[in-house]
Amino acid sequence: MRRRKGAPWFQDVVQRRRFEGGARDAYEIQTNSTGRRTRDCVTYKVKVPVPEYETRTITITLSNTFTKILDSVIADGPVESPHRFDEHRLCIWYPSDPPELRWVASDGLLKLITHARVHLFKEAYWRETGEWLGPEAPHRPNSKEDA
Amino acid sequence: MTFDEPVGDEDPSVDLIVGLQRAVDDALWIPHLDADRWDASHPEKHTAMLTAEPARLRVHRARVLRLGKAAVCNDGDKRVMCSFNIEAQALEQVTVARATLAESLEILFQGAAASILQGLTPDPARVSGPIKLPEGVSREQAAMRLAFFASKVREARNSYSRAGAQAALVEVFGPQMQEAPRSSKLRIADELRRDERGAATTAAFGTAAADLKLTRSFGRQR
Repeated sequence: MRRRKGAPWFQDVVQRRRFEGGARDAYEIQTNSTGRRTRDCVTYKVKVPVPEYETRTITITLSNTFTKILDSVIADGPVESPHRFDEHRLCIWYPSDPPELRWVASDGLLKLITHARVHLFKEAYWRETGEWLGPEAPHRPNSKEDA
Repeated sequence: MTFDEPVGDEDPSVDLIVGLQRAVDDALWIPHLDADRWDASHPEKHTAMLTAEPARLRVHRARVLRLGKAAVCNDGDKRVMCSFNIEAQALEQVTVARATLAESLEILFQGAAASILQGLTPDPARVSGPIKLPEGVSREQAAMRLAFFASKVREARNSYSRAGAQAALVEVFGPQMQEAPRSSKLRIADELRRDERGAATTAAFGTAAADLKLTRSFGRQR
């Protein structure tokens, strides 16, 4: 007899509430899901204030698998940045760093949004001053690794 | 003079570098230990250019240079050019003693930004190749930072109040102006620069920022 795996995380109310905890109180969030299967994805669209700069809209996309896998955090607005992989995807952490130096799904949605806001502040400050605030992971030319 | 012998009242620290006289001119071959080769250089000519007459220009340029170096070096390991590069730029940009240091400092930064965007700074003695930028720093990035410094010095010069001038200059000379008031943006920047999550960051980003993990930004090649 085969054991049932359970639902993908977005269909699991307990998992979903735990993940979103605190975020919905702090932000107005539009949620969307392309379906209920594991090949589908979940998006959170959030309008976030960036202190001292313009408000921006970020879109967070996760795979609707049994465990949450972050696909991307993208932002609208200016695209010039030394820390994006393409024009829109924010590279907030170095993927090969240990879990204590990067966001992991158990940190929750609120922390992810806060990471994105801090990153957007750093980008806006860099555009204004030419200085990137805080540590940067060394880049490899033509790297395919993503954050 | 022998080693460890004070000069007058001072006991200075001196870097002693072996140099070989070049056969083709009066420059030197200086060892480049990291690259395991000898590089041509003319430190005596560099010094002679910086200390040349007239005295008024020499003193004025030395003061402007000291300010310029302080601003660039405030960026620590993210500085966009080395001290020698700033000296070479000062020789090109500061050619007359102007009425104020601020005026010449703005000219130094603005001129250096335009120059580095065009190409690397040539060796003032024309003995070695152009002066390289620090590893990972592009010419565009260096120009952007220097242009920012120029804009802040200009802002300070155009300010009608001491407070206005201070507010502009503290963005360039933050470590030297510890007592100057800082805007909330600058206080956030100061904390993020030190990779701290303090009062300014928490006030701006909410309590979730207080224990936010300290990540290293990543992305494409600059």
